[in-house]
Amino acid sequence: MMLSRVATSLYWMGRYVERAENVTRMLMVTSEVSIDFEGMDAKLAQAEWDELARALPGSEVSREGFSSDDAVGAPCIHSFLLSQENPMSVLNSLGRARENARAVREALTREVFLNLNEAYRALDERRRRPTRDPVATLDAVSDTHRAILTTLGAMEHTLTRDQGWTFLKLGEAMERTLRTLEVLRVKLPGLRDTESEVDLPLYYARWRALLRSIASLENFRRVHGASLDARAVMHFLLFDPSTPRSVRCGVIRMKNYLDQLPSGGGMSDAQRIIGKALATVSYEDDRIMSSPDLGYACEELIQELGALHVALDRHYFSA
Amino acid sequence: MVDCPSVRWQRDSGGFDEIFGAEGTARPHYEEIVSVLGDMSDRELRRRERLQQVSLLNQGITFAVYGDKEGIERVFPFDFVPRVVPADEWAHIEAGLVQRVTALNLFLLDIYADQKCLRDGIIPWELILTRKEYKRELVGIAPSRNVYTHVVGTDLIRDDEGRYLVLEDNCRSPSGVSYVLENRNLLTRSFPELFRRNPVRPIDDYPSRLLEALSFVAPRWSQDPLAVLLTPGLLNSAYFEHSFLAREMGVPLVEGRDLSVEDGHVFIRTTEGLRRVDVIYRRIDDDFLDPLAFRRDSVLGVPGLVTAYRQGNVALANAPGAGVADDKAVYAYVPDLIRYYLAEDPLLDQVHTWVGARPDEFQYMLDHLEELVVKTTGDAGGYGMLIGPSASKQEIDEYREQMKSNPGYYIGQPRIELSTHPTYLDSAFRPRRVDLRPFILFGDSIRVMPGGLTRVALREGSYVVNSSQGGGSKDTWVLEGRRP
Repeated sequence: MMLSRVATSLYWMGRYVERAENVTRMLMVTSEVSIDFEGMDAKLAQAEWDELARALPGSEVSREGFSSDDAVGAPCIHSFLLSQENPMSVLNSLGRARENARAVREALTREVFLNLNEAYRALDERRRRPTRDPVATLDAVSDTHRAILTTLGAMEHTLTRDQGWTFLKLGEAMERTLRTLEVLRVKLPGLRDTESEVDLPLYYARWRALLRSIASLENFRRVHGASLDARAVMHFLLFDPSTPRSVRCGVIRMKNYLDQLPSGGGMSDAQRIIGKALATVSYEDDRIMSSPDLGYACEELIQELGALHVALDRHYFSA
Repeated sequence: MVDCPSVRWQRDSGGFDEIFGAEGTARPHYEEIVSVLGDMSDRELRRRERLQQVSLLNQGITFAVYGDKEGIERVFPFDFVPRVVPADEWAHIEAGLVQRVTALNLFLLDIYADQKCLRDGIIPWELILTRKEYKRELVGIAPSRNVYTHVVGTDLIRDDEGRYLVLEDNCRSPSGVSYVLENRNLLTRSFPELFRRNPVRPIDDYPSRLLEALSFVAPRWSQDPLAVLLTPGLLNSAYFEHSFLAREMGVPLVEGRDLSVEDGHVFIRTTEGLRRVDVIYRRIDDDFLDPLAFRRDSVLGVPGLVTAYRQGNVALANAPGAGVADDKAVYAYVPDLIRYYLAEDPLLDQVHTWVGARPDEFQYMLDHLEELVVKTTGDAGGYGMLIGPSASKQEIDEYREQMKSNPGYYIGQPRIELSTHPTYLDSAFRPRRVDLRPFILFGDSIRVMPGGLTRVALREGSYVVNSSQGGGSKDTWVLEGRRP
């Protein structure tokens, strides 16, 4: 048995922890890519940061307190890591995850709360003592990433596999799938431009960065080797059934979690929506890959996941 | 006996010290502790203190400070020098508390039914029937299994001879038990060597016992009863405790908005629809329970809850209306109530109390304000208390005038010194005043948890042990009787 309020909090906790992890990883990858580009072409480096901001809708980056002497990415890193004003910042995501965890502490284990709380407190401590040193800033990003992975490990290893777990993981899968789709949606046009310019090093650097910001470079190599074929990368990130961050994998996971939840007799709205999405990503890969605008396909999937969230809310959360 | 080992252990002259007797030697039940801690360097002690601090923050064992913009959560300061109660002293405390809680429960059953004690003149009727804590809506409604006070926290202090005195009963929803359990965890982890040669009675069965006491009053006996813990929510200063107890008992932690009442039955909203609730361990005040029955502006409560309770479809712990038993004016009569209901003499003493409702005692209070601590009772509110020994002549005169307008609202007590307990502060063990709140569970029998919350006034010379005003706490040990 699970209180609706507890289910809601666990779902959002799953989403926020996943979001914090994604944003932290994207910050690490974008910093490295932008450092590579900055000497050659500062505009290109700036474009990477702009894309990051666009891949995280709802974000707000402030340049306040920064000057042209600072590295191109400095305002973005600060804003996405530590800012309280940026709704998509890691600090805010961890803070909300922690608030949700605090509200349902009795549904969690000590280890989960402890690690999440520690990750948040360490980051909040950095906010109170900001640094301009770029190396220290990058350390902060990777320390935070490690702290989040520890929290995820604690969830994996200590939580009971009950309904609460299912809601938590459903939130996680939803957030991860959305993040992958948002990154693809934003990055696709830029990647096509590079394709036409046929600047090979740049071309490889950008596709590699795309894979890395979705934590999938190694997984991709395992399947396709070191050659980076644009089409193969896109197909992999959208339709590979076994890499944990592909859209198809996310949809499969959500379908499985939903099947474990009480549907209230018959098929719930949420189950219908996810069933349809699963059919699309399982059987229509050829049609989608040959469509002129892959970005549009991503957009459509994002809309469907939005509808799924609304259906979940209606069925389980605001019962 | 161990000599007061070094200058690190300080001792002031007046009052009763928990560790050191008059000759400056440690009492037998503290010898081991004084010797183990005495052997540790300041550096080592501080290192362990830091570990404790980090552990508290990381586990989120904090209380929120209201009105703080940064939303800073503070830890309840913990002092690692444990307070030890030997077996014989505990046996006395335990018997006295069981007796007291038994009498208070009988008193509540009586005043919500036949009111014999009022008719027999044991206690003046105005002291009871005019109180806002007395819920006339509930007269004639006996709670399930006749239990009003499922959980009681009784505050004890010790006078300068070391006599245990009851200072206050808490019959509504006493808090602090989570700190008792967490303090023990913290101390076993940070100072395991202290436990090596001391037979400390375990306390970790409290959550199971609490759940047993709650299940005992479930209206539907045959089925697996569903108990829930009702909290005002995240912003309440005791939220950590609510969440802790729910988790330890394995029951849902609910807020008012999770509950609904239909046809006189209480339900929780779950992902599978509504589910019926049998027992509510509520940690919100009577007045906020039900906007239809008590305060209409309550957003914390559940409309219709009191009706469901009156119909016997749900049990509330503690039962609504129980608050009248811990009123300061009723306190003065508890020894008489024990004699009246149980035909026994009270086993535990309490602080001598002059009651304003008795004309001769009121006159005594007026004449001796310089020596007394005077408190207002019930809902008199607003006037606050007078601490005679530290008040100015003008304050005393003004207070005297106020008192004359409503004598029945006042009680007076002598100021009790409170015992001191060595407490580690700034690299020395310094005497600080302490009290003790044991927790008593009332189910199929009355059980006293062996231990309790020892609160300590960390400021030198202070009598105030509250966490919000510079108080801390200690682990409290009750020792097993000496085995042959």
